[in-house]
Amino acid sequence: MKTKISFILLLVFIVCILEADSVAIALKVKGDVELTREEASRQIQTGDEFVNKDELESRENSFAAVKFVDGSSVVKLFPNSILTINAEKENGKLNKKNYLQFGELWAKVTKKTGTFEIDTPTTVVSVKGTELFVVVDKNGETELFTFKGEVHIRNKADDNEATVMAGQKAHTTGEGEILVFPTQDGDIEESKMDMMESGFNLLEIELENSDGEKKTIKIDFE
Amino acid sequence: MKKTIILLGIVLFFSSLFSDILLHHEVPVSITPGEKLNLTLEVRDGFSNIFNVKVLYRESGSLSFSELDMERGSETDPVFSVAIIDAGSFQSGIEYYFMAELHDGNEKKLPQINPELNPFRIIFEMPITEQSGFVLLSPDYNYSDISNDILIAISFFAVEDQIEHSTIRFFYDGEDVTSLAKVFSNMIVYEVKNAKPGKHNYNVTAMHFDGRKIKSKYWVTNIKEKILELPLNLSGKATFTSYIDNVASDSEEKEDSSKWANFLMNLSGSYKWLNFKSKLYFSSLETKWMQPINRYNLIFQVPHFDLIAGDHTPDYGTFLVSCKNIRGIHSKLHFKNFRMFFTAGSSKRSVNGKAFDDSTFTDEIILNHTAGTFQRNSYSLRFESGNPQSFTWGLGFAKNKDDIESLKEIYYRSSIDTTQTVLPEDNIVVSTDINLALFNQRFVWGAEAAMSYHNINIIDGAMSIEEIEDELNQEINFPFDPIDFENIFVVNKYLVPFKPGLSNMAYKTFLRAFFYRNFLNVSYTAIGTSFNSLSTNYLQKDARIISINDNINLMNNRLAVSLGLNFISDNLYDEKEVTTTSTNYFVQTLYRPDDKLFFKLGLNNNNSKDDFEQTTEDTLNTPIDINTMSIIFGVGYFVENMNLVPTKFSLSFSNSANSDEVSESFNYKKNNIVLSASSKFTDIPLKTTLSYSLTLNDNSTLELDEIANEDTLIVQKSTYNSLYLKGELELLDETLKPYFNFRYTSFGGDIDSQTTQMFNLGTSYSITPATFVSTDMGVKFYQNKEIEDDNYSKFTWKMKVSQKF
Repeated sequence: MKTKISFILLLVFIVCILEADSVAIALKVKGDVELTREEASRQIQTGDEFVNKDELESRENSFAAVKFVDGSSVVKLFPNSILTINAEKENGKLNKKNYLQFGELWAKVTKKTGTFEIDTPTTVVSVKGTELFVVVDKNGETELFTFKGEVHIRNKADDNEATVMAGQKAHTTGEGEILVFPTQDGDIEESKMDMMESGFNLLEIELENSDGEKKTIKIDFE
Repeated sequence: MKKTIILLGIVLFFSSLFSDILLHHEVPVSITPGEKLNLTLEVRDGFSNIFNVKVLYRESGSLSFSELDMERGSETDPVFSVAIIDAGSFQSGIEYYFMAELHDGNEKKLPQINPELNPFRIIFEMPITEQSGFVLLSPDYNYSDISNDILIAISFFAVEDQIEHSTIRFFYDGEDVTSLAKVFSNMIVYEVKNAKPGKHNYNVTAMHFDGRKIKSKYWVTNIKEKILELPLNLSGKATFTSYIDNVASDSEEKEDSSKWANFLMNLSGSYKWLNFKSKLYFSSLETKWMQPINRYNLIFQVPHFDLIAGDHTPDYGTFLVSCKNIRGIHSKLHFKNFRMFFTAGSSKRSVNGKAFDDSTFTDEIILNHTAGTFQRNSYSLRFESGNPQSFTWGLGFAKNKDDIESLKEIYYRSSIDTTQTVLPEDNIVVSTDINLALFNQRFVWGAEAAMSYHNINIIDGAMSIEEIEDELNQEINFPFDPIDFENIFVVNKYLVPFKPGLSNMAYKTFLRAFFYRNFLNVSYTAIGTSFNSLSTNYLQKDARIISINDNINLMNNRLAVSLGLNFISDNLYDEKEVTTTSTNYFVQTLYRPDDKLFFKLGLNNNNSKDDFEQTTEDTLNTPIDINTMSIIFGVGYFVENMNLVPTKFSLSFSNSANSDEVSESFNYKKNNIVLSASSKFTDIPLKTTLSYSLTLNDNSTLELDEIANEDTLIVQKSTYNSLYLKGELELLDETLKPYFNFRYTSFGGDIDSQTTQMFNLGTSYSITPATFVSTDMGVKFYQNKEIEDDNYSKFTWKMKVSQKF
């Protein structure tokens, strides 16, 4: 009897999992990116589908490109980052409110395809048809770079807001004034810029000789 | 003069009707967006007399025709074929006609009468079931690896609540692989492992809750074969084709053999920010006695700048430069709101005339030469400002001048009386245009105006004002001395027009609107008598053209209706005594009640007449009133559940009538029926095609009976029967496709009773996805029951090798 009940429960669980709406797919995965769903964890690979509340954690030198099922937006999760995927269908549109707990994330979003927000521990980043890069450190301090269009950023603690236009960056600790500056060359490492533009095939190794002189080797790998 | 033209026209018309060349074309049922258009022209008689066939095509409502050479079949498979790649973007529909160049220098067109005004038309059909609700998530060229392992993910998020999920089917390269795919609640994922290099297509179908079958568009992913890793991306395709035929006959005169070969290579590649492409086409038919057949170019593209060296057909506007191949240097500097185009080259090369003995009236041998062709140098420049998505303004200049030095005098002057046999020309055109696009280019309005000067004979160079005044016997008010500007433009007594005015201008305005699956194209064009632009192709002169075309898709795209009205008249500025008008209207409908059945109905009417009033004194000239009418009806049905052999049946009937309504000099009627069945067997890898065609001609012509010295009505009735059977096997995972085909034709009635039997045996083999070989051997037997000496047999062999890299 116990076996039967266990089997039925397992079946119900599987059906529940199967019935859960897919919200995104892994377009490309490199290295070790772990998925946590319903408290179970496993390594993901290209082609895996994601449902609401899935948590992705990328390890050292590991990346993932995720595309949402409405075809509207792509998110690239950089190494050493944790992202929870939140997306719900409403009035035929997919509203995306992903949670970047820590790390770095690049996103490209198409206009008029449901809302697209990135939650961080301290801020809410609202995106309207744009391309952006978000960095969240261990203290929850958030840095936002806007490449195209405009992005709104709001502190959760004090509701301070700022609009970050293309070519600008914002920095906030989560409280107080949100500082907005023009983006400078070198604000983002070149290797990361390359990853945003061309994919995740670039590996950067920094070498230091006996004189303390540093050299960087970039390897474009398959 | 008028009499001469009419007589010439009638002679040409009848000579074409009864020439040894008999062409036939079945108009394809429809064309859909993005689809390339495959056209075939069947040569029912006189294949060996044809040197080359071109198709001239344009979007309905456009003025100029673009041209493409058709691929030659063989005596045993007497068809010419071509694929028009850009036809799927012609939302107004496509118009085209064929022009065969014969070995004797003559031309034969199809349709035969006024093909420019009365071309073939194909209805533009929006796909019935294509749903934008299907979105391709992967592969995404921006983020995915396009290697031999492909991840295909298609989302149906937008229609997930409207379709029956159990009916979702995923097709990869035409095969239903749903069972191997993962179907989620709103997307389907299929992983391809170790895909072969080449193009792979895939799509999704599903049943809507209302019972309709819906399907996604076809996506194509190209997997490149990695033969050699180069520091730059390089890909392309090289094709070599060779052809031999041999005639055996009891009559030695008929014994003959011919062979030709061509080589085509398309190449494209990139290195960092540099993109490059190249096309090379070499034919053994290339000869210095004709304009070039070979084509070659090299294209370089860097951000904001394109450079093309070699053959290219630039488009700088309808009246300035369009549809004309120019061999030279072409460049384009382009930014978001500004573009500059420049071309320098030649649209014709110099061709020497041929020597011949011109001793008709004497016993002496007198060496003379046929007329040659001057090299025509072409320069054009165009500036364009504004955003093509909204508003643009353009300004252009073109100059074409024949290079007198390119030809020896013996090839442009008769050695007997020194008269010029060919005239070198000089031409300049200035043009401006504006375009306004609204609502995401669903509404486009544009206008274009151009002015030209044309000198029809520059052999003696420029003349001074005094010389021109003496020559024309009138006072000329020129602000400059033409001799000082001879290098820019040659002004002499042959200048057309001498006094600028409306007659050397051309203008056009058009409106295109695409709303609610209704594509409307309205245009008004006026081209003056003296307007000449030597870098445009087949542009009508002295014409007022009103064109209205509408393509409507109704009933969820199941009904497509295309209708149009074209009104053309000459004598634009009332410079001639007689005005000729042509009125053409057409309606085409295509109805698909379901995915298996279609009905097609088309009507085309063309009337050309002038307002010449016959008088009792003038019996030589007659008014013109020529009527052309054709009706076509087609029906097709796909019998899917036919046991073992799902078959597509189609029946087409057409009726055409051409008549001279005034003098009743001819009345030409034709009925044509084509019945065909295409099958694909389910249990064996065999595809078959069976086609039967019957043509009934009923021609009556008025000819002069020289004995009775009166016109006599000659009636000639003839029939043409054709039976075509083809079987093709698909072996070794569809890489090896041996085939056999047989064609039987017979002519009968009031003409010589003739029959032909043609057999072809061949195979195509994709040795690897990148390497393709095909070969074809054929024999043809011809019998003329009235003249047995005409009987012959023919052997042909054709081979094609292509390699992708």
